[in-house]
Formats: sequence, structure tokens, C-alpha cells
Amino acid sequence: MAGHVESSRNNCALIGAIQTVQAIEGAVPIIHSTAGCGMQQYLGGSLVSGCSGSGYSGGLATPSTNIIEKHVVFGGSSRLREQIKNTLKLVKSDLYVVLSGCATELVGDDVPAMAKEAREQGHPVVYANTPGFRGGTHHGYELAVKALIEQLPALPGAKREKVPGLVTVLGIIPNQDVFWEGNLLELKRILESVGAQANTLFGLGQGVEAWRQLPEAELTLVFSPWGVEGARLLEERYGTPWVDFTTLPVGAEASGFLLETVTERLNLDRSRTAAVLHAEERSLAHFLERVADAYFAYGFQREFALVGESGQVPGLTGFLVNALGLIPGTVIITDNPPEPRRAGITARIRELAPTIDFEVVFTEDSGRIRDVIRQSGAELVLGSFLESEAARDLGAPLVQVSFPVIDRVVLSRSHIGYRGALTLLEDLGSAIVSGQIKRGTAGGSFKTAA
Amino acid sequence: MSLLKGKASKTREKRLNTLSAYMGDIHPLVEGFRKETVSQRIRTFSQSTFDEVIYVLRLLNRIADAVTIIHSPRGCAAAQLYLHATEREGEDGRWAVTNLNERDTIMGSDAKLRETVVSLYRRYRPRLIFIVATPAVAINNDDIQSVVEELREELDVRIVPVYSDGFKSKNAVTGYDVALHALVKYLIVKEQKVRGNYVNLLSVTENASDLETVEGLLKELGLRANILPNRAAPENFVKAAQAKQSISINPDYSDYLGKALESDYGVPFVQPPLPIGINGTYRWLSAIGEATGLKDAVDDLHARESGAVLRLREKAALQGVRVYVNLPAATALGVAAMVEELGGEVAGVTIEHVDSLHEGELAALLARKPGLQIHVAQGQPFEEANILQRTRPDLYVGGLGQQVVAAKLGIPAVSINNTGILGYRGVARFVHLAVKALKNRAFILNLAKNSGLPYADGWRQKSPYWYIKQEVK
Repeated sequence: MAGHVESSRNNCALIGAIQTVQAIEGAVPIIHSTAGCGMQQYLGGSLVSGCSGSGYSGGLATPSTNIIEKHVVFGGSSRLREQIKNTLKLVKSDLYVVLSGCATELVGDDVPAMAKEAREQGHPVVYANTPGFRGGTHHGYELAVKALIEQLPALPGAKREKVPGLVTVLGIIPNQDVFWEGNLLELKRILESVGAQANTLFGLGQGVEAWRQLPEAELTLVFSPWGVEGARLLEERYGTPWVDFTTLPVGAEASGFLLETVTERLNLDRSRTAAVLHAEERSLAHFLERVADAYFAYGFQREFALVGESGQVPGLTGFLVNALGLIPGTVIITDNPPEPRRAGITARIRELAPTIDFEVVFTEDSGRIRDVIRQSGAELVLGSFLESEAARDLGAPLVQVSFPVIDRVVLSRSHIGYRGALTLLEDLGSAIVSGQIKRGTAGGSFKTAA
Repeated sequence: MSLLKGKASKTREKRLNTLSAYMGDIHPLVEGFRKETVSQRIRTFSQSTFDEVIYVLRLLNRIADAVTIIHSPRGCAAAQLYLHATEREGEDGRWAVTNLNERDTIMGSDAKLRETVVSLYRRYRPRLIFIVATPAVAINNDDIQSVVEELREELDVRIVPVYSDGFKSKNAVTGYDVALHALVKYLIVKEQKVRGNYVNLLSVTENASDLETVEGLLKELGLRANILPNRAAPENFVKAAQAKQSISINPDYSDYLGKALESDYGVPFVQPPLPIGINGTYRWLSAIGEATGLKDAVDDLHARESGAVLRLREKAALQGVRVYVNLPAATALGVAAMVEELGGEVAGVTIEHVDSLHEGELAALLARKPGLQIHVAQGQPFEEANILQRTRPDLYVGGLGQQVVAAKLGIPAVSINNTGILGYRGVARFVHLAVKALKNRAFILNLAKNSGLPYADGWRQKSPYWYIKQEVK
């Protein structure tokens, strides 16, 4: 039985689906639920994800049926029909995605039929049944991706043949990964640097046309458990093979592995890839040299507690341990990955630091997370805003790497790849240094041996 | 008759004929409330907006030493991430969601609720536990009351069930009534003692700056304030029943609390319009002076405190500026009057809801601005976009998430979310905000040039109330 969750950082399927659709340029969700659902997403999904805003038609502008008592009693399908009809007239969009919430699913409204009616009139309307009681944000992402893959071909204009070098990126959940847009841009940048083309599906410049290109990709790259179902579906429908990287790459080692794997699978120019890796590694090495003095002066080498999702944690751990020389104390995974995958994730994390003893915990309960961090005695906490209290109790600096991030603005910054790894190092270093300077403990570094 | 019978308050629609949608002349509206002939409106196109569950959470976040349990799937607790960080001053206050899944919606959720209450109680030993009901449990008619009764025997803690549902009312403000109903019902114990020498200052959503200003004004009058529900401990509720007077800050939001204390505990309630602007602040103080026999002290205070801001009125700081106001009703009407007081012109008003509580203020606005149309909407930026394209104001004053619409149309906009605008001091703060917005429009122009609104080109030719219809019962 799924028990209660203290200070939950995993919202519901509807919220996950809303923000997934809103991250596609020109796509508009139509919420079929009570009035507050869209606002729950805006307050608890967008504003707390590095101060994300309403964008094109999110927040208060999100079309929503706002059902009331009579719809609960007599059914809300006709209200949905009316809302779809009027949304088509009023809100400009390339794709409308009807998303149902708890109330309308409990009542049993026929959402597929209403979407189908509009589609038969030639309008680009698809749907997903996404009541909150069926799962969290991550499941909402899965449901929305599945709905789009399955229903988009039914719309006019879908094709077609494979495009050499084109890869699809799956598993990064808009807003739930606070750095999603920057991370996608960095993936795009590094994949393109070796001659691949990345279809990232979300964010800047990624509209409905990107989704229509899905059949054209040669390969799907999966970066978290939440991209697996979509990748399977693409394989089934379009014969697209997929590679499960299980986690986002952070730093030279993991990014190099990604680029080499893609080069091999797509038969790209190996010498070009080697040159790219070399240049990126040189760049990282250059900046590591620049930070080295501060590394020792302020004591970057700390025992850390890391709180994040299964798509982030192995990648981050690898960089922190194997590039920066930090010591893992506790690693907490919060996104409830499917049970059968947990042993694999744990093993993967442990083998990044085979000689060090540390714990790997799966929990989404913020109370338990706080206990585990406090007991770990960590000298550095990487996690979300919700870990502020535990970090303060330990007197440890907090680096915000996971959802929610409430008191920081995050736009295009990334914590992955090569450049993102440097940004992470800047964030981590700044947290440590400012903690030392504020506390006035930095002066000791100037002393010479007595 | 007691308001406190029944497990939840009535909806605002039933209690005060509250409307959530209207666009048009003020006169028929005022008449309608007077004669009780207003009819409900609905929208045939609508956009997402606050509901009572979010307002319940917003209010409960302001109560000290409490654990809040949101009885729902995880999504209904999402807003709490934001509200706990922004509405609460301290870091205390824990919350949890019962995390209902599909099975719970079929088999019932009382065991899970029970487990959650016991677990949170053992872990934190709070003085109060709130249980917030949500659409899923309301539709399934899950039993909360028997869990509350049972655990009340077992655990040494006040358990307060808040019966929100998210669909019976079209007005989020009902959420404040629902929460206040529960607080008064469960926290006030009937001990008939003598009246204390203090007043209840009813504050629901005021920010720290506004609350400090208002409390300061009462102090100047020599009144000791028992503040609730904002930042209140359970004792504040107990004390509330023995106060000599209740005073509202926002008359819309504290209406239910003031009336419940009056009807059940005999505490007289005065609910003047908000202390916004120089006249508005004086009028608010005068109503209190009248109720507490401190009229002279009020006149002294006014003479003393208003001096600094009278200068702003004299030099007509907003001379010639056409201002559009979109705010909660009582605040909007106060800000509109302040804009006029400062020499500005009211270009239009959108209020979140309207009901018989606004009769007087609406009539006054009508007298000052005959022919002014009023727009009633919580959110619904599509209507706002249409209206703003017609009225083209010089400045837009709005609430959370609303400025972007104006900005994308190239209209300078400000938010009063984090600024204290109440009292004499608030006048200067408001002018400062407005003047800054008018002084440098670079960000607005940038947004307007590069980002558009999502509405079809034909929309601006239609009337803004195109999608508002009379409700057919």
C-alpha cells in the first residue's frame, strides 16, 4: 500500500501531463477537472521549479472546464464538449490535449469520445486519462508521451522515412527536472557536435512538428526509467531501437560514453567524435585547474548527501566522486522507480565508488529524508529546497539540484554534459565558499605552518 | 441563527448570492443584490483558477504549531510546496498528503487517513492537526468524521476536519469560510467569562507588512489586538469569544469569522471597507472609533499620521494616469478609490467575485464614475486581454500571475503581492510602485514586442462577456 507522504515532491499524473504538454511549443492542454487542478500545477509545478512562469498559455491561461456540482452529479461530458468547441475557436494552438482529473474520472465522463468528436471535424485534438489517483508526475509524463505517440499519427500530416543521424531524447520531465530546458539544450549541443541530430521534443524551438518527426529517428536515447515506455512504443510502431542510459550524463566520463555509444550505433565519424571528446575534456581540465586553489582553501572535498531522482543521481554521483573526489555518504532516490529496477539502480550507483561504504535509500517522504540526512552527518547536501532544514541543522551548504527549487531562478542553466558539469561545480563551489566566508571561518587558509 | 451548524459552511453563492462571472453596468448589479434578484452566471469557456481547496491551504498555512494533512491523491498537495514557502513566515508547520491511489478511491480511505494522523502526531506532537478534504474524497463521500471522533479519544491533540470539496462553489473565497467554520467550531470552547479588554483583529491573508501597519494603528488608539486567524495559536481562538469587539481588515475574507463570533458568542463585529488610501484609512479608523468609543483618538491619529502622505494627494502623484485594477473585490474597490484620491483615473475594474457585501462600495463607485462597467472574474485572462485592448490603460494593478497579460499588451503593470499597501504608509508605497512602473517600461516593451497572447485574432472584436451566460438550473 502506498502510504502517506510528508511534504510530497512528486505531484500527480494530471500535473505531470499538464506540464509535459505545456513544454511543447504551440501545444495547449484542456483540463477536464475541478477549477483548482490547473492552479495546483502552476503553484506546485511551475513556480516552484526555479520560478518557471505561465509561458504561452499556462497558469491562469490554461483552458479548463472547472466542473461544478451539477457535472459531478449528472456527468460533465457535455461541459467538456462545449469547452473543446470554444477552446478551438478562441485559443490558437497546433495541438490540443484533453487531460482528465480525479473528479471527471470518478464520475466516468467519456473523454476519448469527446476528443474523437473534435478530431473527426478535422481538429488536432488528442487526449489522455490522467487522474491524480492513478500516479505521480512521472506517470503523468509517461501517459502524455504515450498519448502523443499513439494519437498523433491519426492527425493529418504524419509520415515517413528514417533520417540519418536523428535521435529522439526521452526521460527528462519538464519542471520535475528543474534544469530540464538547459539539460536538453546541452544534450542537443553535444550530440550535434559529433554529427548527430537531437530531437528533444520539449522547450525552445520544439513544437508539434518535432513530435511528427518521431518515426524518422534512427535511435531513441533514454535517460530515466520514465522514458522507457515511450521508447518501447516507438520501437513497436516504427522499429526504432533504443539505448537505456538510465541516467543523465554529468562530466567527461559519462558524456564521453554517451557520445561514443551514439557514434557507434549510428555509425558516425569516429575520429570526429574522438576530437570532440578531447576538446571537451581539455576544456573541463582547464577549469578544474582554475578552481583547484579554492578546492583546497575552502575544503571542497566533503562527505555529501545527495537527494534526487533516478535519472539524475547516478550521473551526479559519478561526477562528484570520480571527477571531483568527493565522498558519498548517503544517496536518496525520490521518484519511486519501478521495484524491479531498484536493485539495478543501486548497483549502478555503488559501482561508481566501489571502495566506499555508503547507503542508497529509496523514499519520497521528506520527513524520512530529513532523518536520513541528519544521521548521515553530511558536510554538503545536494538536493531540493525541501532539504534546506536538514542542511541547516548540519551546518552544511545546500546545492539545489532537484525538484522543487523555490528560491532560485533557473532558466537555461544545466547540470549535465560538459558545460552543465562546470555549472554544477560553480554552484557547489559557491555554496561552500559563501558558507565559509559568511561564517568567517575562511581566514585560516592564509596561515602557514607554525 | 448560528452559522456553525452543519459540518461545513454554506457556499458563498447560497449565503450571499455571490457571483463569479459578470461583465457590465454596475447599476443592475447593485439593484440585484438589493432586491435579491441576481442570477448566477457560468462560463462556456473557462480557464483554470483558484478553488476553495487552495484557499483553505492558504489560510491554514498561517496558523502556528499545526500539522496539515491533505486527504487526497498527491496532486492536491502540490500548491502547498509554494504556499508553505511563501505564505508562512516561520519554517514550522508540517504537512503530508494521504496519497490516495485508485484502490483507495474504490475501497475507501479511512484506514489510510487514520494511519496518517497517528503517524504525524507521533512524529511531531503538534497542538493541532488539520484534515483537509478534497474533490476525490468528497465525491466518494469518504468518512472523515468518524476517524476524527475516534482519534480524538486516543490522541492528545485537537483534530480539525475542514470539509472543502472543490466543486460545490464557483468562488474560491468559499474556502476561507469553510476553513474558518472549522476553526471556530473546533477551537473555541464555550467558557462564558467576562469580556476581555481587547479586540479581535481579523486578518486572513494580509502580508507581514500590512499586518504590522494595521496592528500599529490599533496600538496608537490604545487597543490591544487579538489577531486571528493569521499567525494565530489555538489560544487566540479561545480568546476571540471573549473579546469586546471584532474588527475586519478585509471585510470579504473575515466576513464569516466575524459573523460567527457575533452570532454564537455575542462579539459585535464591525467590517468597514479596507484601510486603503488616506480617506479609506480614516474611514476604517472612524468605524472602529465609533464602535469602541474612541472617536477623538481617531481624529488625533489621523491628524498625526496622514501628514506625511497628504503631500502625495496634494501634488496628485498619479495625475492623468489611467489605472486598471484587477484584485480581490474589497481590495480592488479600495485601490480604485485611492487611485482617484491621488489624481489618477480608474480605467476599469476586475474583481474576483461580487456579492451583497459590496453593495455600498459599488454604489459609491457608480456615483463617482457613472457608466463604468465592472468585470467579475477570478483569473480568466482571455476576458482581461479583450478588455485591456479596449481600455488601453496606462497602468495595470493585479494579483499573482495576472500582470503578464497586460505586459504582453505593452501596458506597464505592478503586483501588490509583496508590498504593504494598507494604512497611511501604504499610500506612499503604492505611489512608489506605480511611479517606478511608469518610469521605465523597457521590460514591458520587450515582452510585448516578442511574446504574444494565445487568443485568436477575432476575439478582440467580440464582446468580453461573450462566454458568460445565465446559469440554467
